[in-house]
Amino acid sequence: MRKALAAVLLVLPTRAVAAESGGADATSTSPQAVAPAIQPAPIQGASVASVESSAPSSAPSSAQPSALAWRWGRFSAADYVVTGTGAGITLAAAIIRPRAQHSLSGGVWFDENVRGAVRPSSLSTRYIFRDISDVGVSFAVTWPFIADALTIAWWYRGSRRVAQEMSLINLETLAVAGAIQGATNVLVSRERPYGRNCGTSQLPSDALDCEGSVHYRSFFSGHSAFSFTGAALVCIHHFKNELLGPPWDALSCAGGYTVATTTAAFRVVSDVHYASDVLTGALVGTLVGYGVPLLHYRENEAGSARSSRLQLRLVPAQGGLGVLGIF
Amino acid sequence: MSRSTLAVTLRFAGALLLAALGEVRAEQPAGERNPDPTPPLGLLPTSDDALVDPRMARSWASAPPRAFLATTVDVGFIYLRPRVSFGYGRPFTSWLGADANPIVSRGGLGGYAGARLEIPHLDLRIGPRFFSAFEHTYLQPKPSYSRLDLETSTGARAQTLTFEAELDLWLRIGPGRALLRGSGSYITGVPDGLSVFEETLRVIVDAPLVWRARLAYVFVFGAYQQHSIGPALDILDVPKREDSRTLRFGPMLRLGLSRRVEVRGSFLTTLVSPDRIGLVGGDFTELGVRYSWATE
Repeated sequence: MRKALAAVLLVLPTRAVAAESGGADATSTSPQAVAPAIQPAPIQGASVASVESSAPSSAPSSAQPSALAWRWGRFSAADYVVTGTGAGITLAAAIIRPRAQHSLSGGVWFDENVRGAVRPSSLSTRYIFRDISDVGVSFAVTWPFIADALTIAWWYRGSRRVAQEMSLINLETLAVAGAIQGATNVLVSRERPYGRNCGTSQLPSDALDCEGSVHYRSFFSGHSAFSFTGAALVCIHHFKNELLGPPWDALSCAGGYTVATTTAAFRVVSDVHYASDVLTGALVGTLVGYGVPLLHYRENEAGSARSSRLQLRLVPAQGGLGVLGIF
Repeated sequence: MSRSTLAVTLRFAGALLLAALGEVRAEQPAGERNPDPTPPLGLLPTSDDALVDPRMARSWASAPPRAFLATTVDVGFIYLRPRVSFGYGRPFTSWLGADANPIVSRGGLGGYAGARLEIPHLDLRIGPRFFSAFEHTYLQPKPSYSRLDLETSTGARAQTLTFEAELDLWLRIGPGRALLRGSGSYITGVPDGLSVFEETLRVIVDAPLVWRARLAYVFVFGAYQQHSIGPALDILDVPKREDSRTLRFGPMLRLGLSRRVEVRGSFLTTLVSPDRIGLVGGDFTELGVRYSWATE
């Protein structure tokens, strides 16, 4: 009922909603770019496809999928500040050495049991797992930009605007995750699991891994945090924008979590983190990875946010005008 | 080298340069007609960059040869490689000039500057590159290095000045293009009796010489032939190291999203090497976006 009322009431301010919703890029000049923007269906409909249809009719092939429309708020000045601050803290934390006083040493809870169960005895094998986790985090972090924003939203679905907003949200989310992870790393200064072997025959004390700047960055795992942030970004962008439609959105999300889980697990196998480090990283990555984008997707969603507060409208009534309120 | 061989080589090089200059000055790129040469393209993306740019065929290469300034910025996880180019001709297509770029990576800081000649089917660059490593040090010579040998803090941090020449030849074959790349590097700054990890080629070198050859075939697709993907094989050799042959193999990817934006990736893993240094010795150096711009 509420939805129906909203639909009725939104007939009048159609043009304004179309402009707010960002459905039409600033460059959209064709008349039909405005009217269909009130359609609640997020994608797939011809009406929405026409929203950005004034983008150059670049569809080289006739099988081009429908274009996307960005229905949420624009990335604001405050978001740029948050992103810049987060990136600055992330960079600073990567340069600053962890505190000399270590707030956490050795394993907690199940850490030592897990370590004993999964750690290969050979150093070269552990390096292989570490390399694979490096590849994993590279994919997990770049996928939301390269695959989802640029390739799917921009190239495949034809909306540079959606790609741009998604990329900026990705940047902000990763910056916040990086800042939390980096600052915690420096402050907690937990020795890595292999640290106990530094200076032994297994690991010479002059190995780079045994230097102070690397040695005491166990809590919590950046690979895990970034991978799970990336996975959350993949999921939320796919589901909110229906980038590929079912079942591909769900499969993309599952793929993101497969990469993230593997990456995190291999950090434990390669003996550079305890299980508690990667679990904390996964938790923080998930919270930030969903939390920050949801603020964007929720904030200006034409349906829910608008209807969450009292709205008053003048409507034609028998013998004059009436006032209709929705709350 | 005998005098007659030198004379023949110089004549050949002169003829090549003249032909290249003719190509740079040509009014239209070979085999390309300009559908819409209306300038300017500007610095920032415009609405025309939405979707795959329908005017992608109108690139900076469409306007007549001129003096220009161009930039490319490669961004990925985690690298940032801005490059400035200036010269005469058509940016990114047929031109003669100079390139310069800082090198900022997790491994260290450096810079490159050199001369560049690019014409259809051929790309040649020659210049020096300086690199100062954050972590890697000079290495005691060994027949084979492990990861631990490489990742040690013993000794002085490596600083090298490398003089490099690289030639790319692109040939249209069947549904794609073949790339033949040859490069030779002369590394200086390495103390006598020590070796060094060359950060760009990602191989441990007994200075001064190392060469690389790349053979690749990429399938080209897209309405504007703007995408490509295919396998690449790298062969590297260090003449002063015995059994130093390194082979890498993997895919190369390029997706042209507009005339300014490309997604690029290359993931060449090591198949054969005298060393066991893992991913550090592979060419997993590119997974990101390239943004290009040039004056008109």
